[in-house]
Amino acid sequence: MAKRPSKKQQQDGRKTFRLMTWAVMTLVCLVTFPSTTFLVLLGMLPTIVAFFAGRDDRGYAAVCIGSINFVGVYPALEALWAGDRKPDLVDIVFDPLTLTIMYAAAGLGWLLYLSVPPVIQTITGFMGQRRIESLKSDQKALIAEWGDELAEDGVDPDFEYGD
Amino acid sequence: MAENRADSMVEGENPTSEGDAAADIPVPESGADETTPEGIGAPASTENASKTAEPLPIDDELDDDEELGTSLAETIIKSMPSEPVVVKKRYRVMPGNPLAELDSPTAKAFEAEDQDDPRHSIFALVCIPNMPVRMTEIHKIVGKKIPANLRLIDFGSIQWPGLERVTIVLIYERPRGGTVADVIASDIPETKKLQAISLTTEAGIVGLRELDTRGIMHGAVRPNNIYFLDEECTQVVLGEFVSAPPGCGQPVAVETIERGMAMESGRGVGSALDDLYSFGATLAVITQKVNPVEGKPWKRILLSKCLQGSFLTLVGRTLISTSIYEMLRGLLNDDPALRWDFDQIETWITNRRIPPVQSRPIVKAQRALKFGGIDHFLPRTLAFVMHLYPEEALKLIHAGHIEQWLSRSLENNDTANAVAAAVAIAEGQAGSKFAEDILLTRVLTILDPDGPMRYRGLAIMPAAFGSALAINQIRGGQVSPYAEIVTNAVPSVWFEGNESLKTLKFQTENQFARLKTYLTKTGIGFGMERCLYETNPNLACQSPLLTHAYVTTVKRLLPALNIAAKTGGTEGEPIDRHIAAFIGARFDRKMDTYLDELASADEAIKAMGLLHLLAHIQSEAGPDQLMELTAWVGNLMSPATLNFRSRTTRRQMEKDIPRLVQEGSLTQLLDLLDNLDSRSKDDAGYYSAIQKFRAAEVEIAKIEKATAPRSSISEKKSKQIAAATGVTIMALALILLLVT
Repeated sequence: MAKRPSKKQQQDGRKTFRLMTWAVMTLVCLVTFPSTTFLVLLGMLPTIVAFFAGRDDRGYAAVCIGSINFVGVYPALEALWAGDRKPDLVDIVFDPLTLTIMYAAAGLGWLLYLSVPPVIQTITGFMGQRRIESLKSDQKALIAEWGDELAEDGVDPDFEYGD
Repeated sequence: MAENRADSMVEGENPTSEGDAAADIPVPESGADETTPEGIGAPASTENASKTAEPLPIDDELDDDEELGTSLAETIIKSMPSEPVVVKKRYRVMPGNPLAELDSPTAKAFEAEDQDDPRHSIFALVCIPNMPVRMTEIHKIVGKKIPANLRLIDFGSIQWPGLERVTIVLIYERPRGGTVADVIASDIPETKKLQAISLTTEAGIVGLRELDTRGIMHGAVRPNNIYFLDEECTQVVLGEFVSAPPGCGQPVAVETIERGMAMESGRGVGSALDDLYSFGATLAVITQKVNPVEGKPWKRILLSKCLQGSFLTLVGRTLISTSIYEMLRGLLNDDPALRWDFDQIETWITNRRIPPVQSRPIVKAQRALKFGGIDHFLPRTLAFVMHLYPEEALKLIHAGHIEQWLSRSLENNDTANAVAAAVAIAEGQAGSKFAEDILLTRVLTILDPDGPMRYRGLAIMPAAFGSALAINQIRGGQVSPYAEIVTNAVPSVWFEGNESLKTLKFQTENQFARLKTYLTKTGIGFGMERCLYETNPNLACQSPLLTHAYVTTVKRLLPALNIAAKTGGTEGEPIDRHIAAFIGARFDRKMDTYLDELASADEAIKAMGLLHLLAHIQSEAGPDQLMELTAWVGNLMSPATLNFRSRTTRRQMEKDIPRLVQEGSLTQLLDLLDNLDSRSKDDAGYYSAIQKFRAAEVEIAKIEKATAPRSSISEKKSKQIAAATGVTIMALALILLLVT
């Protein structure tokens, strides 16, 4: 009987499958919309780097940076898609302002990703302490009403009603 | 001992040689010492038996019961108040006017007056406090006129000033003619004496028969307890018999051999035949010009009775009336099966003749066994003297002299084998510290099966254990031998020699098995006090808290405790060892559960045990209101609130207790503190509190984990929020770009 693959092997398999899918989709897009796809790949390069360099599985860094990065890429895309007056891909790519906007947006995304978590942790820590104090106060009230033995019975997993 | 002390008609200081049957007992050679090897078990011939009344070593032996009556009853005299004491708001007892001629061994007589009927001639008998008076018999005879018996008019309890506690006073019809014995001994014409003897004979038989039909044994027929009721000496009555247990205070001369060998407190209730014997002995003593046993030590009288028989011991050659000679022979027969009963006496009175009955001869040994300075020819006398010298007796047993003597001199191999078996049993129990004491009991029972149960100096009829224990308690004697009788099941040893007494054996062994369970528990409500009340169903509670009341029933207990609370203060607890044992013995067995609670080291359980006991009694026996007692108990109930876990409930209860106390109801107090609904609510509340406490504990743990520095959960969440913020900004920016 064949040995079942381990969980890690399964995860690695899924990751490879996902990358392959992205690669195929990117190739399809390059063939179908070569200018747009190239521009997006070029503009979203920091995001792609963040995606592969990020240590979290969920890719929160990529999502955060990518969102802001895309805001920076979007005006260039709009210019590329703009009717008869549309500039060449080369003009856009070699336009320093456009590149600056795209990568500055990515920088802002990075900044956001680095600054929000500590703030959030500080806030949740403070709220957690408040909740703990409230719960401990409730416990004190229970002990005052039912006696110190409540603290013992309350943490005794074997205590049953009627003991 | 009162029988030792005896009245002057039975024993005096100057024994006469004429008709001195007691002097016929074999006595040791001059200088014989019972403690030397020569004095113990050395065979002696009958030739050594002396006919002289030299002092015996046993004459010097003191008895445990000595002066029971005098020493205790004298306290009543010593503590005599000067003012009259009123009993039942009717009878005035005059402490300044004692009536020594009407005294009983355990009660003192005083002049008394019936305030409702001053012409009524009465006297009062003040009993010794804590004496187990015969309450059942008192209730049977009080207020009733029983032919030829002194009439017990009334009885009550009084606080005799100077006495430590309330005692019983018996109000009797006052006999005006003095004792029959004094009248006969006085200088009156012979015809009057014969008439007095005739009246006494008739009255004695009628009086005892009347009591027998009522299921009562007199137990106090003696020379100084038969009176002429009138000054003209035409009516004879038997005196009082309820102030002490049967046989207590009776001289040995008027008791059967078996009962005489028992301690006076341990003779117990006998039969009508025992009363008839006492009557015969009394008659013999008072109808002789010279009393053959006057001045004789009681032990000599007993030995003489054993050797020669009671008739020859008590009846000399100086009978005033020879007409009663035959009757005395019949009444003083030492074999109960051959002793005259009422029918035989009446037949004799009617026909002056009775079919001759062949007496069984006393089987004596061919050679004597010397012990205690006495040459013994009978196992019974040997058993009696061996009991007086236990250490020497055990040496004699282990030396095998008794077996030898029984098989060779008495040719009684069965008894010899039984002694050998007893020794073998003791050797098998060599590790037990009681083995030797039990061996002696067993051997003495083998030698004298009809005698009392003898153990470590005690000689008690098995049915009299209770009264002996009660009187020992009064005297402040050692309790350990009594406890050992129970724990070592000594009565069973005695019944081994009395297999024929099956019903008594069954009842006694059951009772002692129960007593043993009480004795093994040392807590309040058990122990020796419990045995005391279990074996004395009419004994008043002897608690120091109840010195002011004579409490014989549980119904009287709570009112008495209420008065104690009112007058004596409420320090300590309302139940002590005596009261607890009294309740346990007098109430149903359910009380034992509460008594166990009362003995608990846990103060809450103990408090509830106290309340359970008292409330249970109040609900069963009343009264409905016990203000002071309830207040007393209420003050002790703080620990009982600890049975509830909720502090709010406890505080509420502590507020409610004083309110309920004002209603004087222990049952309501119990309902508050032991309410099933309240308890269920308290338990449910506690359980719910535990759930809440546990949930809080879990939540705190979760929060602490989530908010800890470098917490993966916290990091993940904050990154999620950062990502979400980025997406939101993107969406807003795209919308803005699209719109513009």
